Amino acid sequence: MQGLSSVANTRFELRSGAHTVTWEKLKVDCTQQRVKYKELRGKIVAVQGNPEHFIKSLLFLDGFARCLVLVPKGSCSRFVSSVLDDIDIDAVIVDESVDYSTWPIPVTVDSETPSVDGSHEQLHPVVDTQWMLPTSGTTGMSKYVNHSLNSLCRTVARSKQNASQRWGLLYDPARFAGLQVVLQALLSGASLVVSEGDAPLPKRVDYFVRQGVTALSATPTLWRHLLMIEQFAKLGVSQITLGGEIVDGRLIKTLATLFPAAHITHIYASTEAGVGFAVHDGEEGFPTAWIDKTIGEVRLGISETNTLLIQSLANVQTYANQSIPIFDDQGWHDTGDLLDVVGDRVIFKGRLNGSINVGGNKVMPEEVERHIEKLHFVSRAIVSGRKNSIAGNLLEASIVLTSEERDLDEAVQSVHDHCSKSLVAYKVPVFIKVIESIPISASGKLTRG
Amino acid sequence: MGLTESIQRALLLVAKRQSVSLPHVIERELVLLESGLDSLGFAILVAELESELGYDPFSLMETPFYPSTYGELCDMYETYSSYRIVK
Repeated sequence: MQGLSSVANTRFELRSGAHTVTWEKLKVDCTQQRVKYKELRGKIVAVQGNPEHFIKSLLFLDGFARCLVLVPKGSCSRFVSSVLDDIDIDAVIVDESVDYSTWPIPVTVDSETPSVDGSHEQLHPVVDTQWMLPTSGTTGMSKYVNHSLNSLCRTVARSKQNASQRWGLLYDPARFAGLQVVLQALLSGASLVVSEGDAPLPKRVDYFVRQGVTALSATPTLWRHLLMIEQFAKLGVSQITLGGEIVDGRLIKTLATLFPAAHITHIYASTEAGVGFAVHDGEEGFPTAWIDKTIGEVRLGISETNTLLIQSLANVQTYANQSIPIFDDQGWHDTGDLLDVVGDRVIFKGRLNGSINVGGNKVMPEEVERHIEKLHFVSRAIVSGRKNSIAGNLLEASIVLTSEERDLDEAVQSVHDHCSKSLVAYKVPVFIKVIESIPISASGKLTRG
Repeated sequence: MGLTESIQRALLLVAKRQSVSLPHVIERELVLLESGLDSLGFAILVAELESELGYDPFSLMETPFYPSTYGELCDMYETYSSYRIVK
């Protein structure tokens, strides 16, 4: 496959704020950027910024840079440092919206479109660019997976019906889920409507209504949030895509009632495996008949520990640091997602490694436990997930105090304050209780929740 | 404590937790997502109310409805109030 700019559908357009950028204009910009940043040819380039800048950068850098490193917009300096530890980045391109003080190395702030003569640019050969995508990290540290444009574009539907869609971008395009929406629009020739990621959701919905958005992709938590916005019902949505969390059947029902003509798809995808599969029948989980069958470009299986196995029939991704293989010798990737077979349906139950999904964000309980245990009056902490009908799960911390005498309410308040001060909101336990001792199972293992 | 009073108290509690300032008297017309609470805040509110009242209307509804105003939220809890466990 050649560069992204050469495989994009020419009907694609990018709508941002009050302006629309046509494919013709994007193509000219792309050529000019390649002249302006000619020193980036064949280099490892990190990109960060608002969706419009980000997408334009992807267009000019694919087929031009040796490697494209996607950095989520709100990444903290700790994340950035861990990216730099893993990947030998030559250059960083950001826009003015990024707090580039988080980068300990010089960055290039890309301003308005250059007006340079790009007429000779096409003479250079196209580079086979490697893409590096961050996985949804659980510890705030980066873990990057190598991809190619081919592996990323594999499941993008390019039918005529998709070409008439107008996608609203709700995710960060630097993440796998957001990038899939961008590629879907780019390759099918649909419109892509982007708003600034930090605008409040009701304002973004308002903008999407004015722009006539017809297709949206979001996590179940985000869909529930959207359903609380009065304006949302005014969207003429004909494509609803859910992913990133366990999808519950009742949410699908609510969406189907509000948008009876919409096509509802829930996607199982992992950044590691590249892609996954889509379910279109409006029910949660997926049909039991799919086990040991080939669905699209993957084969599905169940491991001895009841986790979902995926065999990618097309290509094999690797992690950036190369030390851990993603696929075993037979090509199977253990997703770590626990399954339960209920009659003719396979239902997702959670994660084997115990990570808890809070509104689409993965939390490793151990990280929060270690954080709480830094407090001198806490001897042990156990963090588990408590089911929640809005966010999937919320965190619950059970703490055992040291022998030192202490007021219980005060101890709970101190744990809360300690967590709120240094953890992101979704990692702060909502429920904190003091217990006498740590629950241990009959086999001597710690029991979480 | 009356139902509306419990809901108001829980809402103020969650707002305080999220460092959001709400008016002392909450009007029915208050748009929940414009109150400053984010989706995590709303999830916490529903959990707090479940602890306090003993039920969660979102898990009782066959096809969940998601309220946009404080008034709609109160009506929803009122509709399912037969599940309330009075402590």
